[in-house]
Amino acid sequence: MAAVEHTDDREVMKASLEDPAVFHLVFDRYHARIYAYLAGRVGAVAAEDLASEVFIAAFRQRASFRSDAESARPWLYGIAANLARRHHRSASRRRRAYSRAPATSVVWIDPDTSVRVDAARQVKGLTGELNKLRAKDREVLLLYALADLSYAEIAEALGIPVGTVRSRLSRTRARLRNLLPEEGQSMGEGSDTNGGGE
Amino acid sequence: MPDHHDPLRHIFDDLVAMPSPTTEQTESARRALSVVIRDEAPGESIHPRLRLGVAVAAVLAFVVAITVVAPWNRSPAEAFLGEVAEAARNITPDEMPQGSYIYFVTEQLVWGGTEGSLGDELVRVDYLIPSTTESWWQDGTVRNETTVGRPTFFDPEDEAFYYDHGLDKSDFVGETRTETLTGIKSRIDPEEWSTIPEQLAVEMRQAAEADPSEEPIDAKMMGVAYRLLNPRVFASPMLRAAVIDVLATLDVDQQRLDGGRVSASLTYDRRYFGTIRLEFVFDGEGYLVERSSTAISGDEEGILSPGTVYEIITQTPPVVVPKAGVRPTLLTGSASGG
Repeated sequence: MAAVEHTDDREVMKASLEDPAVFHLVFDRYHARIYAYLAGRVGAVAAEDLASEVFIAAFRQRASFRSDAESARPWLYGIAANLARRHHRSASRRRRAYSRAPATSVVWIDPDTSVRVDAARQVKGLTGELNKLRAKDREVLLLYALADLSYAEIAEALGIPVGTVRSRLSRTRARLRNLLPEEGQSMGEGSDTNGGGE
Repeated sequence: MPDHHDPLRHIFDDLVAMPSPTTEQTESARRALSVVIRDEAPGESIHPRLRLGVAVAAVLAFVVAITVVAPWNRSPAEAFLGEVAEAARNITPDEMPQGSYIYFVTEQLVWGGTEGSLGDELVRVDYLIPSTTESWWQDGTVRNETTVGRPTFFDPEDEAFYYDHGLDKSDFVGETRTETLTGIKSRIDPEEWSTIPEQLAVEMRQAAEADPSEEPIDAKMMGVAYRLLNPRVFASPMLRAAVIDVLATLDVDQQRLDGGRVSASLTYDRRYFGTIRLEFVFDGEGYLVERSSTAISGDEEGILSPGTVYEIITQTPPVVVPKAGVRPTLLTGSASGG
């Protein structure tokens, strides 16, 4: 296992086919990031189980990992996105779930953060606008803004052309124009007009 | 390179924390993974050099199973799928002249849901919504004409809310819309799949195993079969027959229905849905004409009562027409002609 410790993901994935225990390296490299992404999408409680499921699913599917891919990152985010989508489908079936927790159903807010009035208004607007986005556009946005993936990595994660990623983000950008912060301005500092997404 | 100055990157800043897992959470996840890794028997190792051998062994095992074991263990009832597979094999393949289209009609009744605002609240309503779509496919282009019917609700309150708040408008209820989509890349190329059942079984299983869902492998296999048998794939009669032969090897219940039709159904436990029955219906020529899902035990949320058919999709066999917008009735005088 030590022999592949410093090699790239491709080598690690390849080695794990012969020695399954090597797959722990993939876990060690990406678990925290996948967890953080999922926590942003489904909340910290659900993220714990889902992040665990991502690596179990990835281990079982490791033979399908593309041998020409250098990084396992987009592949893992693709699996995470699938699981998060499924989680939301289940969660959204709960009647009036959003009315109980309109913000946390979509984005998780650090409970330790003291949320300002403006930010609360922003959350409501953002949540409403996110719900109006097409599911596929929302998926791309979350990988872009929460997981910080590049266009090419999102394309790889979701199995879609880069041009499609670009057009979906462009559509989202237009839709969320009023909610986007100015450069150098944080979301909590938005003016009242920025909060009017309802 | 990612543009980290893009405001869209920062849309969740200050609203969403990006936490790290605790040490306990990480260790717990690592332990769960270790169990799975440990449980992978040495024989399940999938080193690339072994894959060919595994595939060959699987083919041989399948051949032995269907030539030696299966016929002796198969009851007469279990031969129904074999009959429609044989019927499919005897069909002369349709030709598709340059520039022509594949036409078919899809009717579906599916479990849907819409979210809407009620003051500051966002509310979700659930219902079964019917639609009929006529499709014309050619390479990466499709023209769809879809008519949406009135939904059936599980709860009168939901129905009132739905219409009171105009959610029917967002579902285009009562409307017929035409859309033309181009540049569609099909994930299924029928030429890439074997028409030899033993080999196809291996290919379908590989595709099924790549599905990350928690469905049992037989359900995943039915999912692969469904994609292969979609009318727009325009699978050859030999390929359709081979798919049906593979389905017959799964743990499905086979029934003969009226009109020469045959059904194959799989009953299993599905997360959130409870026990469900997934059923395929083939016509006498081996075309998949219906897929349905029934919540036998009712779903976990209590929205679907036991026995509710929450999805039913019927499709006509594909017919070749000269151009988009032309219906077979204008050519043959029969909607199902061809």
